[in-house]
Amino acid sequence: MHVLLIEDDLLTASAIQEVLAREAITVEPVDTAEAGVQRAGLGDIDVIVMDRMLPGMDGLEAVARLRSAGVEKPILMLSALGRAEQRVEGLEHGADDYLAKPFEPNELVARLRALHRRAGALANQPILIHGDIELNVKARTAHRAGRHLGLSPKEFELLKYLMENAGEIVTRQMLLLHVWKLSFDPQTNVVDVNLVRLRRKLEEGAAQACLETVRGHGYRLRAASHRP
Amino acid sequence: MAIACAPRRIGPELRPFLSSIATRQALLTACLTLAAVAMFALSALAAVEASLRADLLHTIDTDIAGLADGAARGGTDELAARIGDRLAVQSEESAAPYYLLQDVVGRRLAGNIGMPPPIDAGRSEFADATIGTDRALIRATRLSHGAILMVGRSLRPTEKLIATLRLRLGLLAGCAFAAALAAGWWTSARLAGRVGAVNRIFRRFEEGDRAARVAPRGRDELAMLGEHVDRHLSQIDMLLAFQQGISDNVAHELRTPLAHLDMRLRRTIEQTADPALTADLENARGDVRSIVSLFDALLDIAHGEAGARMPRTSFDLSELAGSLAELYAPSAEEAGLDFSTRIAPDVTMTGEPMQIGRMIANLLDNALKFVPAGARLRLSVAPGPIIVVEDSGPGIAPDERELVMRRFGRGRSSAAGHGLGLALVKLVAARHGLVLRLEDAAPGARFIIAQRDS
Repeated sequence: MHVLLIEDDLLTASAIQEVLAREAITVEPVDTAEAGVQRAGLGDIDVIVMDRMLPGMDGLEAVARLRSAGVEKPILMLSALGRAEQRVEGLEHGADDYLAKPFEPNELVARLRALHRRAGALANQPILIHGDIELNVKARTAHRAGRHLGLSPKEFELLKYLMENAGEIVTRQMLLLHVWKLSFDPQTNVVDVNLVRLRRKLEEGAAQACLETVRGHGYRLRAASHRP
Repeated sequence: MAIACAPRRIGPELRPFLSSIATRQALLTACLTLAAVAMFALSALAAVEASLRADLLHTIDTDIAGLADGAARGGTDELAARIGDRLAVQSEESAAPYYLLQDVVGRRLAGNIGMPPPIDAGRSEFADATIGTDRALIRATRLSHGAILMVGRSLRPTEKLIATLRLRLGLLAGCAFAAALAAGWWTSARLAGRVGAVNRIFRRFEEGDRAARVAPRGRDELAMLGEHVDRHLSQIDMLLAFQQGISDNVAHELRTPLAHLDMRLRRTIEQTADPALTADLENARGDVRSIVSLFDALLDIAHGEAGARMPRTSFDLSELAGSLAELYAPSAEEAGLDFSTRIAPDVTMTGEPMQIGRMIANLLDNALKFVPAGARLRLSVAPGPIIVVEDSGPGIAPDERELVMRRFGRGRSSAAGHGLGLALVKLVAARHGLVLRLEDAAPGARFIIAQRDS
């Protein structure tokens, strides 16, 4: 994955580069919106990470400029303006994801991978298979090792999102946004409790645990070890 | 209940109409005009009637003088003959004449009055009297040789004239009333319309349309008021933009070093192998998170109070509440609460779905934190919209209800959180024209978010 990073704060830029380098993600940093818009126009980029308050041009305006210039690559807005209202504002202006500073490096990596994958059209498959879990998106049925899983509609969405991002960390904020369509953080651990439930249904009678909690970061559907 | 009350004199549908300046002003003008015209008409009628009666009496007195003159020359016979002559020649136009001549002992000698009315002839009195079916003005007088002469004229032409006059003046008063009402209403409606336009601008501004301006035409007092309003709205808009800019900048300037601090802490954690130090540093990172979240909540409240931009989209509240119920149901069950919903389908409202969602989530979070296991918890949504979160827990003591809704206010049963939750709920409700009420659910607490007057 190749990321264009538009960020004027050098410390943040270097920290991001360092984190992403460990994940084998290459980063091309620029420090002004103007340069970012120009570079994005040249192509050869998978995801754009952009600060919101940039010198010379507001990040929201830069997103609009990128979109009108025909750049369709996913944009993750990274900003010190992190109130729920501002997140909604960013998404409404055409950003695909919005992450507030300070952020967890894992959260950034997880979101970048999810954005990259979404752009890679894996999301629209009619049947998702991961290990011994099979999801029929059209019929909205789920099976594990041939056993039918009685999932509620939301649990189905939850599992579908985890399967679309199988092997990667998905964070609570990502789940809230994509499964429950909520762009604020509840004050209690409601997301975790939902995951615990789903795990119980997934792992009931199964020999292998498949849904893993990544402490402090989120959840991950384990990479498939075998096919039934 | 309103239905159980005694019937009111003014229906509720008429009240806004009657309370309008235009209607009240028009009615006042019309009533004053009517009173003025009525006073004029009544005094004119009285003057005309008095003058007509004086004329009639003058005619009678002239007639009596002529007859008395005849009596002096030719006695009662001459007088009776003259009366006979006068009765024989009656004009259609003038008032019908009435005569009676009686001798000393009261025998009728001439005339057309059957029953003499009781009028004192000795003092030459006059009075209104009924003659057959007619009404007449009669004067009685005693002649020099003791005979009594009564002379009168019918009052009918006078009364007819007065009646005609009264009808015309009545019509005139009616026309004047209608004209005054129409003119008053037209003027006042224009006035009320212009005042209403100013009010609408205020409402739009309140609802977040910060570009709303009166832009008055003309140079009268209302145009001046409009200009004043516009000037002030522009100033408020500028201050809001300034405040928003400042808070964005403050947020940026504060969050950036906090982000740096967080990064440095994380790097140090990665580089150390000391578990005690790692735990300390992780706690420090938790503190950074707390500062950021408190700061966000404060800014949210500041922005809400400043009436910052609020997109007004119509959205499905039932769907949003249903989604939140699904999110919270497992946690409620884990907490041992009997959680249920009563969500009416297809309830829509206008506003900011994220804020409304956060408001409901806040109330549910509160219930998860404070309501003990075994209690009931219910989320209801009804058209209005009315959003209710109620539980059967220990409730909130009456003296604490005000406190918990205040900023940083907490009840005695304190738990984690920055104490801004309910203050934010209240604010989000207010920005959507709704109010948060806290009631005793006996037992338990009932949080109601609804229109101000419902």
